[in-house]
Amino acid sequence: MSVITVNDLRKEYPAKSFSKEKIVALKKFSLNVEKGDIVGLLGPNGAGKTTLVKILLGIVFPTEGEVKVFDKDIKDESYKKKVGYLPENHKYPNYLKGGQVLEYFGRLNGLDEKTIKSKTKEYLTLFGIEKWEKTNIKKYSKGMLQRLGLAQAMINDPELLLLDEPTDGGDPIGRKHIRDVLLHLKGQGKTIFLNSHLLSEVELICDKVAILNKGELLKEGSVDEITATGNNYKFITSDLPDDVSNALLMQYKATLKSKTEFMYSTESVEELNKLIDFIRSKQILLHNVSLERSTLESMFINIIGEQKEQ
Amino acid sequence: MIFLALITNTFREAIQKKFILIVFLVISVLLILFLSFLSLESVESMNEFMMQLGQDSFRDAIIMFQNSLISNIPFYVVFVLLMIMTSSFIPSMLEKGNIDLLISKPISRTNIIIGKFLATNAIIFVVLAYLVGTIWLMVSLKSGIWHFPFLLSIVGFTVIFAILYSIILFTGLVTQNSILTILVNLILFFPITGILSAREQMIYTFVSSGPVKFIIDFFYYVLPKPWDVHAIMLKLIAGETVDSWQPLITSLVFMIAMLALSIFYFKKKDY
Repeated sequence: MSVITVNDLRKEYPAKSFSKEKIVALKKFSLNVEKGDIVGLLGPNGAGKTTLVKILLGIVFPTEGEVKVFDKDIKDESYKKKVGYLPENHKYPNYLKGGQVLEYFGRLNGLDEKTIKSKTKEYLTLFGIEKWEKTNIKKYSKGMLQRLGLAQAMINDPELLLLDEPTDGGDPIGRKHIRDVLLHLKGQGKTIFLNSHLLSEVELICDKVAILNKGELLKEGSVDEITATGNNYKFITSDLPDDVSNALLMQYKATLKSKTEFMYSTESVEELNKLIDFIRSKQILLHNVSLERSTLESMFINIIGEQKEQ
Repeated sequence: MIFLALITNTFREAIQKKFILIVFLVISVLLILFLSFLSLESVESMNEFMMQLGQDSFRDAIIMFQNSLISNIPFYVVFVLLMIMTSSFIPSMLEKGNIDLLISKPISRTNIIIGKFLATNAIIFVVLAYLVGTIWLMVSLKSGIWHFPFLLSIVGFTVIFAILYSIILFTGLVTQNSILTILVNLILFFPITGILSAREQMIYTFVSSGPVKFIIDFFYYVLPKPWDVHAIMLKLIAGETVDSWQPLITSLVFMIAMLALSIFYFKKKDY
């Protein structure tokens, strides 16, 4: 089931003063998010990520294109009952206490008082801020505000969570806690769509990634697909004698990295096994053979860099 | 439930910003000052009081005194304070990170505007109920004259405020700036609508040109008429016949038009 459907989306903002050119935030952007996916939206500042999320929530209006959430056009606001949102740099009324923030947004979601009370307790406990329920949020640290923000986004038990920099402001333990909660939500079949600059975190959480720059979708796919660098295998062995090293270089076109490590590239599993047989026949011990991957961060930098060169 | 959330939140905002407390304090000081002038313990002082107000009947004198309390400049100081207090509600609602969250909830933009409008006027109703109710109670206890129609001014002033707040709402949405909102509304409230209401005495004495008179009349009928609505309210309290309801009707039409314009603007705007 498709949770988010975006087809040929274009968003133009009016020109800034003294400039006649409109600002194009999104150009012919298309994306499909299925139920239960955790999708990471990546891109440099100004790529159009926040604009996309705001369009999905009816905060910003599209100039052209089709946008559906839960198969409903975004003009029909009823879908928002099933959506939770954490904006970047969220600003709650600073005269509220932690519990009152959840009460206020629970009411705006149309929840009854009993549900609000039970959910407030549940989520404040889940995020470890239950002792701060009656404390004014002015006294909250940035990390606590972020956790309160997530609790706010979850108060209506949404099927889709749109999170803008969810781990922002948290310390490593706080970030891990948030990651664990998101993975727990994934286990419950929730769909999560998140914007983040912390690519290592996206890699840990997300199933799918969409890379966006200058309003265009540059690449989309699973984290494995995006980080795969082809069939490059890394071998770690016992010391390689010279004759074996020469054979690896000349016969198998491998790349030697050290006396105990080399890279081998092949599309064929049979070829890979032939090489393993050859090494074993020379009484060399195999410590490890692994498919080499790139990190999401290096792939991201490559993709954005390539677009800049073009 | 959604309107309740907006109303309670607006009350919390008003209390937190301490402005509402300042307004209550100013009102209380004004009430104490008024009360110090009200000395009706002896027969001599009653006669003196009636003579000062030019009334033969003690009841009429008390009603006139009560009405004078809500017609004087100190009352309008309170009214301006209320306008200043509420002028920041819309700009603070529109702050980044706050408005995004509000719109992301299952509440239509139309309901956000209507909810904020109702919430603000509910606060004003409470403040005015305290001010007018206390004046009425003090004067009634002192004089023994219980003039219930005086309490109509709570509703009357709330209506006048609602008419003016429709402009505050729209200017707040467009400018997103509390200071500009206050300035626009103070200029409109005091000099412009005041002069237009008194145009026959203040302008037409010096201007005889037909087209100019037409333009001035046009603005008079289009813009709200808080002063004329106030005069209608005073007549109702005194039990007098109202000659024309036109100022109230055209002001209410203006308020509805401003609300519609605010909703239209808010519904089209990207945040």
